[in-house]
Amino acid sequence: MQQSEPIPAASPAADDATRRPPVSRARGRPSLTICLLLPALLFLAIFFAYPMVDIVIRSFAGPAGVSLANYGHVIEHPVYLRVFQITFEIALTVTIVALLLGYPLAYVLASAGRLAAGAIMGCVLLSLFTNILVRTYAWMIILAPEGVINQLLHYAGLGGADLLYNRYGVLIGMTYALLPYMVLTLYSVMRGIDRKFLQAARNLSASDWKAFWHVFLPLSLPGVVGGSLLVFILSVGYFITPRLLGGARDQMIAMVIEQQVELGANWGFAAALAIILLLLTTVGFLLYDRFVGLKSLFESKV
Amino acid sequence: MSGPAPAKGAPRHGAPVRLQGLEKAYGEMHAVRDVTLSVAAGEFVTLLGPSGSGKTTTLMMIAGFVPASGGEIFIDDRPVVRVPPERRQLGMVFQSYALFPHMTVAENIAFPLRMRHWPRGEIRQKVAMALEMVKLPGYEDRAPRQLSGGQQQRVALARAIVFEPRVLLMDEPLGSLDKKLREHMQAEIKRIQQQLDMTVIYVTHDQDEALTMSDRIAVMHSGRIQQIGGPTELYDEPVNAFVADFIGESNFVSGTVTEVESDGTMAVRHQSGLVFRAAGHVAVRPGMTVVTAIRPERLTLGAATAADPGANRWAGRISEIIFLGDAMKYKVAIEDLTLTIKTQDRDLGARTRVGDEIGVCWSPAHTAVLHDASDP
Repeated sequence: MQQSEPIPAASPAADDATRRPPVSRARGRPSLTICLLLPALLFLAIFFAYPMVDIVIRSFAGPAGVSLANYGHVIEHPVYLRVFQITFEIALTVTIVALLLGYPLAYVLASAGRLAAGAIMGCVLLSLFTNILVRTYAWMIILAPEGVINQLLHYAGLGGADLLYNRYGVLIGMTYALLPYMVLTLYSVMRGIDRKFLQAARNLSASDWKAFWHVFLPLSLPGVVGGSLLVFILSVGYFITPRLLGGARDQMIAMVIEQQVELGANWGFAAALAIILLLLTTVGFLLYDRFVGLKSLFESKV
Repeated sequence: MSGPAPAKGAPRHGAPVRLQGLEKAYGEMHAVRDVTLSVAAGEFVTLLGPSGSGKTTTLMMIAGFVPASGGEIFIDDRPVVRVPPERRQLGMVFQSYALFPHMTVAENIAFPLRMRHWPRGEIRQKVAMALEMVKLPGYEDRAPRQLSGGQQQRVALARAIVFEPRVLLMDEPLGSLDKKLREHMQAEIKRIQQQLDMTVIYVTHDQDEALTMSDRIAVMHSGRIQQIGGPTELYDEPVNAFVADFIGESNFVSGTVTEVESDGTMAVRHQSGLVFRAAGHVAVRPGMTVVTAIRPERLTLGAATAADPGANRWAGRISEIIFLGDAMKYKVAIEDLTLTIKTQDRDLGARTRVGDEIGVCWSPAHTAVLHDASDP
């Protein structure tokens, strides 16, 4: 194959990808790539693309053909906009708290010896392996007015804290449930950071802290971006934890959608809420990309 | 070694480095044992050895990344074993270069200056000078991954010397470059070392590199220094079979001493009954077993040395002829020995073929008697 342009050294992968499919052989016969992708494509078409299209259609369905009534309903009733606002507030808070808690944990995990790393990893994974309902009920017991935390606060003479069926309960429960995703994403990026970079920084007169700040932190940013995105996406659609640990004022959008389907069999309105959630999330990503950049997530700098 | 302190503002010179009984043990495993080495100010010393010989561990202890299990390191006559790496003020070029991938070339080179809180304008000037020195001017804004291996190597070197360290450590810096580029960079490194008058401690497993660049070489094997000396000394007078075999190529011939003359020249009988003479610097008595090493290029073929009456002369049969480009390599079987002979004589190739009988001659002076007879 003729190469008309010099290939930028930065993207050898892209070069491979454009060069690999042999044009002459692909003619008439489906290429290996297509055949290998087929099962996944079929699955996605049936279980993802079709329901997605169906939701869009339903959201525009009115009593007489196509209508914007479902969307109008959302806008006319501020309560729904308030639910969206609460949903994003909670998701953002959970993401930030999970990042603040997860980053040091992942750092220790990535730099610990094999035994210590194994023990920490075991704890992180154990919480993932346990059923989410079991874990959420456990939190209900811990956070209850007569629960462990309140008893400890009482003994310490600090009075009691209202932690269940309110925003605190939701935040604690969700951060706990989503922390492993943050830690694992960060860990996988941190593990790939060559310790030689830190040695080089130290050799060039950077203290521990400066080496971390100028070298390790920037190199771990893909993990920060990836982990935050993952936790935020999972948070926005979270259902069980806010349902069990939250109060009436902490309704998240997934709960409202569920109510519309279960109680009102209001499929069209539920679909409209889902579409709005999707659009808002997409806009959020675009803003995030604009100001933080998703680029680092996909390109390896090392 | 420590002269009067240089006057203020005078150009700084390389600092002496002294290793004293340096040890590194990982549990039962000793990576470095009792390494004692004195490097003079401005000297270029190479730690040479195969992988696992402890040379890199030794360098990492000097840099401060690997804590020593015992012994002391003196840089400029100050003990530094308990000084963290960031306060040792050493330049270092890593094997993988370790250029920060999220910084440009200029930011990489400026890093040590920023850490030392240099003023901005001065940093810019220094970075440009460093790039000039490694012959990469104008590359300030490139990312490391946009550079070739050789260019990355130069940037790594620029970053290591930009703050004018008195000691520069190099860990196999040319390992991943091709032969031509490697030879070119060897000369460049020597030029920069002399220009900046730095002490250099260089680690490599490449004996040619060590012989070309070093003032002195410390050959390491299983955690110990086997021999320290200048390139010619190591090549001509290896103390043991390991050094003789690791640096260059050697024919090893062992035997029993039958006679020692007053000038130290000894007659040695090989187990096949063949006798040869060796001029050793080693004290031996008749009856002792010795191992000698003879360089392939010190052996000559045919009747060429008939003029030298003292030469050893054995007869054998050619078992292999290898064309090397600038030379020919012969393998000659003599009794149960096979000697390797390297010759520049291309005409000989036309006159000889495998199976021919041929004479092998060498001078007793070119026969190195090894101190200890450890296996190569």
